[in-house]
Formats: sequence, structure tokens, C-alpha cells
Amino acid sequence: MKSLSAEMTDRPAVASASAQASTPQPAPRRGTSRVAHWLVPIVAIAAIIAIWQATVVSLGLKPYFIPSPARVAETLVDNGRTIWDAAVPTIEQAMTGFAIGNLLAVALSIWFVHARSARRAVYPLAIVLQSIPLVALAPIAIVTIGTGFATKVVMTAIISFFPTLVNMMRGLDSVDHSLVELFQSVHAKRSAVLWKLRWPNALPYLFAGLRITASASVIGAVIVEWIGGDQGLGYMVINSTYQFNTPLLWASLVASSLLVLAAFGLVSLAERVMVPWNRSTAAGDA
Amino acid sequence: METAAVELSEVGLCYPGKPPVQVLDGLSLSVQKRSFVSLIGPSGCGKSTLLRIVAGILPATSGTVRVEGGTALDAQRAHRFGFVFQDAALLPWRSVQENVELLGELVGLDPAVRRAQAAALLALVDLKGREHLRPSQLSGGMRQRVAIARALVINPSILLMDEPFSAVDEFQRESLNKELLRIWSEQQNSVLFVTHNIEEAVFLSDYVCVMGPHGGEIVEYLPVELDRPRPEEVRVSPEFLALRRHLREILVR
Repeated sequence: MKSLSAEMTDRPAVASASAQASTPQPAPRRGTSRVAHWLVPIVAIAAIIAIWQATVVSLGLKPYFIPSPARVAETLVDNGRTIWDAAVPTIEQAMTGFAIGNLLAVALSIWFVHARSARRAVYPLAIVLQSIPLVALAPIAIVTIGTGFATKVVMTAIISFFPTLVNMMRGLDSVDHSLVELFQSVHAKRSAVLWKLRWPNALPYLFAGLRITASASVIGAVIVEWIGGDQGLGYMVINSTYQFNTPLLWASLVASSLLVLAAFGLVSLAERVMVPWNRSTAAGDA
Repeated sequence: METAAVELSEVGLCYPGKPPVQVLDGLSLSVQKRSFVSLIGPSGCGKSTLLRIVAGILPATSGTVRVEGGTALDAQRAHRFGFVFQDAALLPWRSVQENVELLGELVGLDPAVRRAQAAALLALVDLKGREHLRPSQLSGGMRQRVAIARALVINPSILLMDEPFSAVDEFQRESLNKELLRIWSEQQNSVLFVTHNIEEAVFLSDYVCVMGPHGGEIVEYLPVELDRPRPEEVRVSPEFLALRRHLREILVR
């Protein structure tokens, strides 16, 4: 009897809780949390810049040692044209390498899903290639291919290749087995299994790979220019170092970082448009 | 005599290995056209495997499988099967409507025909007005109804259902049972229905096929002679309860 009365009193409580949930009341709270979602990182970044500025000014550090953020911003604006001119070849290399590396990775992953022996033959080679540090590979590429555009594209393509390959293989493989059987039960063609099942299933994984390689290709392009280039942001980094132009060094660093952020943002935007069903459950990054 | 929908004789499936695993051994079963047959038995007795052999997804390693007079692969090529799984297994990137149209696309149905067919089936499974939702926006029971509509879109003559209601709660299961009978009475296909639930098996079936624990010998092939259409009250009728008790005794023994 006692438990029954407990049940009786419990029920309206549950009902009123759900009634509350359906009223618009919690909505503003969600809105606040969204503002907080963006506010927290912005405040954190602002705080770091403020501390940096305060430290440089209060200790009277010389700009060639550590420039203040204000000085970096000033340099960035004053040399805007020069920095943009340096950024253009970097962007071109990064984008070309990104496109080639990713296209190759996607094509290979599709081939691997259909040919297990090809996978066993080529995949270990891809891992070996991935295991070589970029700074060791770049001089080899420069010696054999030269210091031109091709070398840089090859390097950025290599960087863009592996994360996408690994992600795509996982995405193409990790389909619900019941769905494979459903396709089999109506004798569906392999191309139908690929394009109507495996490919859309792999899209969130592809974008996880693209997000990584978009940033990595820019970073890779800068590193290759830094090792052996005569133009681009990487070249600007090394040039300003030799000239003890520390503010310009920092400005080019900020410019490279902005490029990486832009690349990341563009891919994330494309993902929102192309993979709308997967907004909340992001596939694991590599 | 009319050809059976499914005719299995001495069917076996053995996975090679050390030691080889005999999943099914010498199993014979016949499913008449337009009848509803349930397969029930302990876990691991090979019920789901049997369903996949009938659908031509797994090849039997011995015995013969005839589906509507031909081989399982013939039936597959002629798009005779509708398969419903334990998990709804819908495509998350497609809307409800597009999910139901899927098999129509795969077998090359005319777009206008499959669209109309899908709309009619969604009305049949009581999901009218939810065509544009994504599977993630549906409850478990609704998803399973979409899966049933999806299987029916190509007008399969044989419906293979692998514990389709095991993931939904008891109340939803009972209403889905009732709905399935209503749908089946309109569609008139043969159904092979795998379940763990004795009551469900009795309520739905013309025959309940009880499989033994080892390699799938058939312990009993029990006719359920309850009138159709079966109202909800039949669940408490003496005949129903007697069948239920009888099956319980075989299965729990």
C-alpha cells in the first residue's frame, strides 16, 4: 500500500517535469549556453593576448626579442601587401597538394575496399611513407625533384594523403552489417553497395580526414618553403629570422595560423552543408 | 499441389576450421505460400542463419534450398525477398520516405511508381505525415515500422523477419504484432519470422517451428489453429494459453 501511494505521488511529479520541459522556458538557457560556448574561448584568447601585451610592456622587452601583440598587429597591417603576396604561393601549393593527396586517398580507399589483396600490398607502404618525418623527406624531394612548385605539391600531397586514407577506409568499412545483407537480399550490384551505402556512410569520416589535412597541408607548405624555397610564408619566416625582423617573423606566423584556421573553417562549413545528418555525432578524428 | 514458398531439405551449414563449426545439420522445413511460420528456439540454435540461407545471403554447405521452385539466388535476382532485421538498420542520411524507396531504387522500379508505393506503405504502417523526418527523429517502434515498409516496397512474396520486435518494449511489441497481422492480411505474402518470444509466435503464426539447441534439428512443427483475424482477446483464450504452455514445456525442458 505504501509503495502504491509512492507511485501515485511520483507520477504527477514526472508529468509536471515533462510539462515543464515542453514549455519554452529552457530555451533561453540553451541560448545562453551557446553564447557561453563561444564566449569562453574568446575570453581565453583575449586574456592570453592581454597578459602577453602587459608582460612585454611592463618588462620593457625589445621588439626584436619578443614583440608585443600590438606591434605584431601593426606589422601585419603595414606589411599587408607583402604578406599577402607571400601567402598566395603558399595557398596555391597547399590547395593543390591537398586536392591531389585527398583525391588519391579517396580513390585508393575505394579500391582497397574492393580488393583485399591490393590493400594488403599497398597499405603497409602507405604506413611506411607516413612514418618518415616531413623534415627528412623534404630535402630528399628537393634533391630529386628540385625546389620548384612540383616538390612542394608532392610534399603537401603526401601530408594530405594518409589521414584521409585511414579515415576513409574506416568509413567505407564500418557499415551496418544488416544493411549489407539487405542489399544482398535483393541482389544489388556492388556499385550500388558502394554509392548508396558505403560512400554516404564514409562522408563524416572523410570530413574528419579533410579537417586534419586542410590544416596539415598549409603547415606542410610552410615547412617545405622554410626548408628550401624562394617564396611563400615559409620563406618569409626564414628571411625575417635572418634579418632579425622579429615583428615580421611573428606577423608571418600569425598569417600562417590564420590560413590554417581559414582552411579548417572552410572544411567545417562544407561538412555542415554536405553531412547534415551527422551534426551532433562527429566521427572520430583519425 | 502448389509449389511451396520455401522448401528446405537436409540443409546443413558448416564453417570450415579446427574444429569445423556445424551451425545447421540436416534441417528440413517447408513453408506453404501465404502462410506465417515462426522459428523459435534457444539462442545460437541457428534460426537467424537459417533465414540468411533462405535469402541466399549465406550458401548452404549441404542439402537443397528451393524458393518458389527455384534456387535462393534465383529468388534473390527476381526480388522475391523482403528482409527485416532486429535493428531497424535505416540509412541515417535518408528521410523516412527515401529509406522506404531504397529497395525500389536498387531493383530499378520506376521513380513515380516507387514514390507512390512508398507513400501508400507509409500510410499502411501509420506513418503518414512523417515522410520527411530522419530516422534519428523517430522512436524505436516507428523505426521498425519504417523497416517493414521498406521491405514491402518491392512487393516481396516472402517476408523474412529476424527478431524484428525484440528491441521494443512489451506494449509496443503487442501493438506492432497486431499491425503486422493487419499488414500481412493485406499483402498476402509468406512470412518466416524468427523470435524468442513464445506469445508473439503463437499470436502471429499459422505454424510455430521449434528448433533444438544443437545444429538446428526441428523439435516440433506446431500448427496454430486459431481463427483469423485474431483479436487482442485471443491472447487470453484457453486454446492460446494451452499452445503457449505446450511450447513453454518444450523450450524450457
